[in-house]
Amino acid sequence: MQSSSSRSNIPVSRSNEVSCSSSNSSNSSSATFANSREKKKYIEEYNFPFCDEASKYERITKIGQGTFGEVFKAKDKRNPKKYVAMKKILMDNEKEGFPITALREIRILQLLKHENVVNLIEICRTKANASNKYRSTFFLIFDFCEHDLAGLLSNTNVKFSLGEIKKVMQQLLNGLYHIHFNKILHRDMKAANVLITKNGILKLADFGLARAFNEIKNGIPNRYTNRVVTLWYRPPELLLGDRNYGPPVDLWGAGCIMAEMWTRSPIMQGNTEQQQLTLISQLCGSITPEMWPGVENLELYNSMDLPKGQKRKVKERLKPYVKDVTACDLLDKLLILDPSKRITADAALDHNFFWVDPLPSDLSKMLAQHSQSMFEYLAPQRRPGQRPHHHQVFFNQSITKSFIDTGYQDRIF
Amino acid sequence: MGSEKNGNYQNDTKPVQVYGKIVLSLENSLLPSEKLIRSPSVADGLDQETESNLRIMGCELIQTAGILLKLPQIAMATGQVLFQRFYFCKSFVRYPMDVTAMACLYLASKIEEGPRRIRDVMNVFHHIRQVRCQKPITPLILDQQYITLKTQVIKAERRILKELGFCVHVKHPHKLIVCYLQVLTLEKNRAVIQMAWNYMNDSLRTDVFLRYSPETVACACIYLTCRKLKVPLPKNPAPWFTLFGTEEKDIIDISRRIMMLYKLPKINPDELENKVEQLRKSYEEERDKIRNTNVIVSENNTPNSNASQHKSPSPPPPKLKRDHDSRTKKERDSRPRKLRDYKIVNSDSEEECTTRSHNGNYWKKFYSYA
Ligand SMILES: Nc1ncnc2c1ncn2[C@@H]1O[C@H](COP(=O)(O)OP(=O)(O)O)[C@@H](O)[C@H]1O
Ligand SMILES: [Mg+2]
Repeated sequence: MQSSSSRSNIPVSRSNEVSCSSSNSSNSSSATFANSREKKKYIEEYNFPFCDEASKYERITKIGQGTFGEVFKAKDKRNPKKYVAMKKILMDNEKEGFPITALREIRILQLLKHENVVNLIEICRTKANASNKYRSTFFLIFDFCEHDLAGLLSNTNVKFSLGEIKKVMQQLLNGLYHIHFNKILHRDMKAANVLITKNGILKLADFGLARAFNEIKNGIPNRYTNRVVTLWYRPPELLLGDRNYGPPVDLWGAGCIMAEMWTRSPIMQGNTEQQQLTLISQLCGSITPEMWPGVENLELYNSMDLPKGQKRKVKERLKPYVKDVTACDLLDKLLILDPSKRITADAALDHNFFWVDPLPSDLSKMLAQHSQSMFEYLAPQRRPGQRPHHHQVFFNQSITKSFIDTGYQDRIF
Repeated sequence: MGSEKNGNYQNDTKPVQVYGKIVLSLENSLLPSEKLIRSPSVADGLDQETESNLRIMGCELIQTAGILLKLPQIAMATGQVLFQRFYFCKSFVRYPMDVTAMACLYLASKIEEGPRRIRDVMNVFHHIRQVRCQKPITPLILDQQYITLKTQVIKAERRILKELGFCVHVKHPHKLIVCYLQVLTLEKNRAVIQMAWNYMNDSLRTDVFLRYSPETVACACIYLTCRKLKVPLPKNPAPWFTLFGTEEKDIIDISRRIMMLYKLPKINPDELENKVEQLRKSYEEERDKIRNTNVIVSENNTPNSNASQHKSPSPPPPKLKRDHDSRTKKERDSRPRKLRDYKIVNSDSEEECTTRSHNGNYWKKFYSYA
């Protein structure tokens, strides 16, 4: 119901993409005017795009500090009921002009208009003056969302029912389906980049690492950078140096986030790429060419130390927390080592998890009990200068440090 | 959604997201025709012929430099469209053509996912210039001049982004041409494909992309090709172009504009540069004059101005306000178009000379000085 109807809203052909079927090209393509009257109307209503001044917004508080810049909550001075999030575009590498990553982020946000993707309102700039050496700063202006998932999960007063967890995951997969449909990879799935409004609408955010992807053409593989995705959410193919990856990288992240809905903290907190691979092997079984044909061809397959003889224990270890059998089954399909076997967003949305009782249920009632915004940045456990940890419930920090010699991490689940 | 994304022009079911008069859209920006007639350069006293020659020259530069940088054609196409659009926001008199061309190509290389180093872009332009001037070919020296130019290019890049409101992603008819030829079952005819592609690349030097949708431009390229190669196109049951939602008169108009390119006499770059240089000089003189008078005016005004101002703790008055009062009527009449309603914050500033009331419509303001 929910999922299939919202998916059917997704455009069959996106405006920026050329569709080769004649039926599509003939029916009013966006910039083609059926008649001159419509064209005239378009011209009359034409607004030249322009960059407004950031001073039209009044900053209220800082709500985020990522590797890529500061985020503020702000209010529209002309419409005090309208709240926005302002994300500064960092220009640290001025040597090479406007950052290509920011160009990508903007383009992708302009392209991806969807209920489950954060909405970019506009791009603003500060006025150039003597105090900023006549260089203006640019800001991305978003609709404000009250919470991020990392903030919510780190607050033990926030309790999700099974139906509510289903709603979160359904919306998350719906957003992923939409962005993958538009040939975009998110490449930074993690709880802090998942926003939730007070009405319980989930929005995927932070397209700072996102990019468009191609299906392989003429047999020439893509060569994307594999230095993407926060380590704890990074899938095995990236850790092994794959540069021709695709949408499955985001579904691994979705699996990690899904498990976190119950464990309340990231499930695999490696300190190094090697350690992350070890943690993955201990959960998902040894990485071998039998389990994952072709893995032996990945660049780092031979240089990484891959634990042998590990059994796959995804269901077994998550069961104590997750309890629900269908949930465990979906997790088991999301956390598959071989990306080609990992479930797609589309198939995941058809999984029984979303179609058996309790059905996905609205989050707004639960959220109404919390009047304070919850963000990772503002979470109380946050220590200055340290990666935020919010896993008081199940982990303590010593686990990841001591695991190497003791195998202690087995107790995580 | 797919068919509704063109900014304001939308049916009512899905309100377009308009906020603060800004429309974020990936669609190509088409400009209303009256805006195309009086461009900012014409308003600055440049004649139309010089302007269109400058456009052609800039686009050719971008094309050649792109080839030397081994960029894909799509990047050169994007660069040229950005260049064309930019000079409907700003004038050639105030913003030098070559710096803008460099910035457009540099930005386009990033947009089209084939980033080139800024130094390489500058180097290639330097090389082209030496060839043109028949000077001995020497590499770009990394001196103070180089640093100054590099800063200018980086600033120009930001200015382009700002002026175009970050709508810098261009939909090109390249792919459309191939699709349409498939529909017309001409996709196997190499000669047709190649020639249509060539027309398309040449058309970038005209302003047809600001006047017409890429679909219409694609049709015009096919039309020109098939006429030249005497390949018949279907007329029944309806003329072929109706299949692609285009009108014959638009196709003819685009074709005419493209064909005009081939009739033009050879451009003399030095002559063009001289013309612009002269105008730039007189513009700068005028600007300095006004700046000076205004400093005096504002100094004179300072004691009383506080009383007449509504906003109480006002920041220091801008160095230059509207120029009306400081000039005699004769002065104003003699150069009615050169000095518009503008203010100067600083001559290097990116903010220069766009006046825009906070809630006003940009274009209305832009053209209301006359
Ligand atoms: N639209 C928004 N509404 C509310 N909070 C936001 C919004 N966008 C970002 N944030 C907050 O700011 C944080 C950082 O923003 P993000 O886009 O992820 O930037 P970064 O690339 O620096 O991680 C997010 O984790 C979230 O907490
Ligand atoms: Mg983030």
